Amino acid sequence: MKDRMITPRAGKPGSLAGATALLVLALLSIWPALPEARAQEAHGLFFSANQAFREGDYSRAAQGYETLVRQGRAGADVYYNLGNAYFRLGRLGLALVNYERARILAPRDPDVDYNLRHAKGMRVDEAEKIREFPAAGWLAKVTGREVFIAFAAVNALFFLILALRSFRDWEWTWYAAIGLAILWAVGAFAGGLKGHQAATDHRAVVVEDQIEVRAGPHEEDTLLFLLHTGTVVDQERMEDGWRLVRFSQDKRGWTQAPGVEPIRPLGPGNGPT
Amino acid sequence: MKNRIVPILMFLALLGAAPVWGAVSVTLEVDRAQVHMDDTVSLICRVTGSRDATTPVIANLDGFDAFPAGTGSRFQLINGQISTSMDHRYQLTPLRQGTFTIGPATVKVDGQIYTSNQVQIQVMEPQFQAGEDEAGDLFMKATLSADRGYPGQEVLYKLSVYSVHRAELTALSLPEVKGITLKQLQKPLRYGTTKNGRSYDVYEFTYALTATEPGAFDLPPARLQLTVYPPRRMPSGFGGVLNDDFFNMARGRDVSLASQGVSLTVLPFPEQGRPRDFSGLVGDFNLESGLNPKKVRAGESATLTVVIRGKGNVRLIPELSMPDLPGVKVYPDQSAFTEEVTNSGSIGEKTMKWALVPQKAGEYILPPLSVSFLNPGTGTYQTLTSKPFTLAVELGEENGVAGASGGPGPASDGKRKVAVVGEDILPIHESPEAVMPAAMPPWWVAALILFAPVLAAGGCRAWKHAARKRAGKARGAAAKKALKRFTGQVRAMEPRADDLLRTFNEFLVVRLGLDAASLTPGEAKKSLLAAGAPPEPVARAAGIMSNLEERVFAGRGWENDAALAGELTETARELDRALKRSRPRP
Repeated sequence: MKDRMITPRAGKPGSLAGATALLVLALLSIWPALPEARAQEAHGLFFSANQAFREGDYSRAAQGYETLVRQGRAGADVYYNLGNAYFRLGRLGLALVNYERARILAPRDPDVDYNLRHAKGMRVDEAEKIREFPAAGWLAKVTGREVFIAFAAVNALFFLILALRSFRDWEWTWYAAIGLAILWAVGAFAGGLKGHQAATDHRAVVVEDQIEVRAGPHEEDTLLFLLHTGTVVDQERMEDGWRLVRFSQDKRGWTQAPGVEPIRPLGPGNGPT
Repeated sequence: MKNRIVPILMFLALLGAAPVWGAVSVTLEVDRAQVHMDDTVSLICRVTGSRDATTPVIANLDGFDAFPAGTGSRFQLINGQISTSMDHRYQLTPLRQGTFTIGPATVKVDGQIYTSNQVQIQVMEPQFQAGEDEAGDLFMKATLSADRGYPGQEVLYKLSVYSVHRAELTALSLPEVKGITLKQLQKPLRYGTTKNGRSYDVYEFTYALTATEPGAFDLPPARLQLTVYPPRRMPSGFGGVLNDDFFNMARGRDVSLASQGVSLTVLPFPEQGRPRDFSGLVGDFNLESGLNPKKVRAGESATLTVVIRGKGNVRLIPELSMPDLPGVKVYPDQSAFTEEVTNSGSIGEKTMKWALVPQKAGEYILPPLSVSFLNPGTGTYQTLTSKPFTLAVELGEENGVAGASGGPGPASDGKRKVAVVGEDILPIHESPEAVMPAAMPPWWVAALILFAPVLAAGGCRAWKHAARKRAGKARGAAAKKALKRFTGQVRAMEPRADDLLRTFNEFLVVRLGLDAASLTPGEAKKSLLAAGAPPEPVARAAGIMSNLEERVFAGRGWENDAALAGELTETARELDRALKRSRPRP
């Protein structure tokens, strides 16, 4: 035992373990500080962008908000402010894109709703009626996160009651289980529908003053119609820098990708051009 | 029978119809507005509403030789009312070139004078030049209204078929030239004319010829298929009476005709003086504008109307746009466009309207709107401009605009309808929470949140199941030792009836793994049989239990009975063996 204690090979594991322990301790000590530092940086950027907006430097304000979007720090208010900045810059299309994104995150925010309607009123092209799923109206007033939280709560209560009934056959637990089962089914349906809506939301907004929609993805193809900034289209697919868009049932064609900005997905990967 | 009813009904309807004699009117009509010196024109003076009118007196016929060509009357039955009219026909032969306005015609009916409209006729140079006199009985002539034009300009391409004899046209093949389009104007005309003392029937087709690009264009001849019916003289044996068109038995002869080719030079649009807003409009146009009303209250609307009408490529009349007016909301209306195709070209009219809603009191000067076109006659551009209207706006009565401007007092009920005086976006949000987005949790966290309760409920179920299983095992172990415990207890105690009954009861409960605390003889019998014990020892055990119960309930529970104790022990052993042989109870 003594020999083993004094050999160098025997001493190395001990020092390595100690170093590892120190490293883990150091990481643990700074771990809470890393997100905090990033949050401080994001707050600073947000306040400076707001300050630029107040001073009328809308271009700098837009850059600040865009940086927050790229960093994944954008909530509904950042998208809303970004929409305001683009609106002041006369970029109606980009303003509408960001108002729409803000509305996805905060569907009941009256400011977002007002500015979105105001911006839509300035569009040149007359929007055509889009048929919607009947439940889309009320479902559009809640976010996917809210649906998830509500469903998670119902889910927890439902299985809690089931667990309780493993030990006690109280009568009220039976009624509670039935009621919660109905709520569970409704929540699951709403969650599924919301997910489907998000997955099939291919709306995009014309962000250039005017775009040409052609019969095919080439400059030589026949010009079908023109769309103007702020007009909402459905993007069907993208090929070689061209997007296949549909404005209405009978107005569909290809346009160059930079002229149209998809509303989804939100987050760092989908900044404006 | 049925065939007779219809005429009778029509006759009765005629009798019942109310004749309309009162509305007297006089109209002048000509069959063509453009003629050549060597043509004749048919003029009709129609007097409607009276058959007692005097012979019309037609003014301004000094450019023509006029010959009466007969009269005709007509009846019309429309919606049960009869109207009558009298046509006075004249043949006019031009005396000189120029544009003439004929009329009005005046008639006198019952002492009252009625006056007609006027008609305009343009008389052009003779269609036939010297050297064309030997054109023959049948020929076709192509003419252009101008030999020079501009892209988009409508040049009249006219095909005239002259035939001395009756003819039926069957097919017309028009020239096809790249860059040239031909549009037929109205239906073909048919009229008569005289040339060198010979009378011709003339069939006239007029097309609007439009070139899309500058260049020199040669139009090849147009070709026409027709059937001609030359007269065939009847035998003179009837004294020449049958030599009349009525008795003409001529057979048709198919003939092919070709016109001469024509040339057109299309000039490029002049660079000099070309307005910025020139849209390719070529022709002759005018513009009218109006504002109604010119004075409104704030919040009310006035309508600005601009009408562009004229002759030429009218489909290119541009859509005018109203510039932004500070303090005035402008709502453009859908423009209205009408086009009339005449034998002299396309005549069109575009009407554009804007609803103007001023937001505040004051005077607003509306900027003039303009449109430019090329006049092909002069080769110069012209710009038409609307009038610079001034819209006077007073304070609104029932809205907040008036209040904001210190206007009149409130309405009678003391309340005002609030009007929107301006619109803008709402300000930015500055809450720091903006940069802490409440996003959806990662999928694994979401799955954990959703499946944790499921797992918890399942765990509870499993735990309870395991507990039951453990209890069952414990009962099984106790059952195995039940006989040993029972015999030990019996051996150690005095064989009192009450103690024996209690001990045997415990043995049965433990051995059978029951929850019950005590069993009656009947329950014991039922349980033992259910557990697979043979009937004979079961019946014996039930009998012993009954015996013991009788003693206990009779107050003789203290009685000792060693023989009964031995029998009970033996029965217990026999039952235990039988139960071991049978399928063990879980």
